[in-house]
Amino acid sequence: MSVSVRQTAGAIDLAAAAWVARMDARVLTADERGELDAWLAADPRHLGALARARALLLSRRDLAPALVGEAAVPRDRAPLHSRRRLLAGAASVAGLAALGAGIRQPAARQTYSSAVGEVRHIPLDDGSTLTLNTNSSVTLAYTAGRRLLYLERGEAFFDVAPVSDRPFVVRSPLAQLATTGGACCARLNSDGVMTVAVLSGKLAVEGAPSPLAETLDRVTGRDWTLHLGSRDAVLVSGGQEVSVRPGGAGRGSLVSFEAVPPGALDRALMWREGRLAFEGETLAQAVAQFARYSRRRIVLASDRLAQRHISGLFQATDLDGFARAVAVGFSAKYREEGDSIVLYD
Amino acid sequence: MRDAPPVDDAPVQDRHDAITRPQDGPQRAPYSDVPHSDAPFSDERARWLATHILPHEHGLRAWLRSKSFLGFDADDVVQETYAILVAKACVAGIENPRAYAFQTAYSVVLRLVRQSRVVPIAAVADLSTLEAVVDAPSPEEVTSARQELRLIQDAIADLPRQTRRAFVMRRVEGLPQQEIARRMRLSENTVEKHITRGLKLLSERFGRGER
Repeated sequence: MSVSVRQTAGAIDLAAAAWVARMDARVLTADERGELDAWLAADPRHLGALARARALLLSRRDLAPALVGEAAVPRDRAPLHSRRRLLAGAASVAGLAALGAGIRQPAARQTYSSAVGEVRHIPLDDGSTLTLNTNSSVTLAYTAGRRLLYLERGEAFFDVAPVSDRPFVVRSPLAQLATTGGACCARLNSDGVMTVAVLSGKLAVEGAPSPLAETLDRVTGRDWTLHLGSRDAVLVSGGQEVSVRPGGAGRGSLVSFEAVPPGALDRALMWREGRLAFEGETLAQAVAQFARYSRRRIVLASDRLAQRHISGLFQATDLDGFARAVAVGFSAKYREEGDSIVLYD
Repeated sequence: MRDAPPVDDAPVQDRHDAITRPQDGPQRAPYSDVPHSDAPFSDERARWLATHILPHEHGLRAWLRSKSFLGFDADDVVQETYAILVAKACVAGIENPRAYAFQTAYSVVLRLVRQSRVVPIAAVADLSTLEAVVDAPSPEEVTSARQELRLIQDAIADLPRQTRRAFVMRRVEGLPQQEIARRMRLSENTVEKHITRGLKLLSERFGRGER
């Protein structure tokens, strides 16, 4: 809608007012009628403005009888069903479990997992919060001196309560993350790359040592500990994101900073509320995201659709709603085939 | 109900189709019959619009403004909505004019959104919640529909003095313009200009929620 080449609504209103005032004053001449027809034909909005101006000029006397019947009877507003899942209750139960396990057996391992399509909020006994995204698994191995966790599968958000002398350390096959307080998110992607985003605080990210070094460490019983001052560690601040890739034969993981467009981190973290946010991603990319949250699949049967760019906020588990929105937005159609929703032209 | 698409458990896809079907919102050359049809210019139709649509315009604009991130101009949509409503051959079957106006505006928005190069799907997903808005006006909305008619009176009261005099004689007392010219000792041409000005100011005040 290029406003610049279109007449503004205000200008149209003025022209409409002039026509209505004239038609109200007298019968239009044939020339005027032709002029009016041309004006009406020029833009569909002209007729609307004219009709509206006519309605506005109608006298109260004209309207009086009709207004009596106008008093509409208010109906009860249909309740708008909130689709928000009742996560809070589940989370508090899990939290109590964590609390019980944590207090009595500080060194005991406790594994938390989430199902496909599930988001779990898990309060931890040190005041930190663990949030598991779909199909994820984290094991806690807190000790007196260190809050150690293992990210085994999927994605987790860590809201770390600040305890300066008890580092919060997240280990994965690719990297170790350490902080004394802040918030970060770590994801193990299906392509073998790990993504780490930091919302607040500082996070030291250290790529895993080479498989050989790791084996030596394991053989010698040495724990793979992170040295915050290690030159191999990358310090990541709030608003930054890094990728960790396997380094290839005999080498450790490679850590690299990613460009983060404004707002991208917040969008990416909408999953904590069970939602997916897109901002210009292709439909193919969006569909890949949805695939993480459901056993069902969306299939794009046309390249045209796959290349379209979309923006929006969706319930991560609401494949039908997404397919519907795509169908409406791109004039496409969809049908269900078994566990799949096929979008086609 | 003939005037609004079914809001039962029919597949949602059908619902969208229903909204854009020509008989619901004449999208295919909706204005082609305009110069040849007298419906747009009949007093009957103007009265229907004034009685059934104007009181809901405020609510409609509020709804449109909440969707403005889509990039359309609410004024454009309102004007096009009136155009479709006035161009309809018959409005007798419309049982719920408010719902019909919203549905029509929805079809206009949908078309504008589809025409724009980047389609913000979020907005479309949002639009699909329209049915809830349409089906059940809240008590506040009904109240505001009544207040809206008072807003028109207030807007008239705020018109410049001469314009207001002419406008009140025309709109409130229902006098013809010639008679107003005689009483105000003005030329008919000048009265016409006052009516034009009054209408323009009323359009702005009423529509854009100023004051």
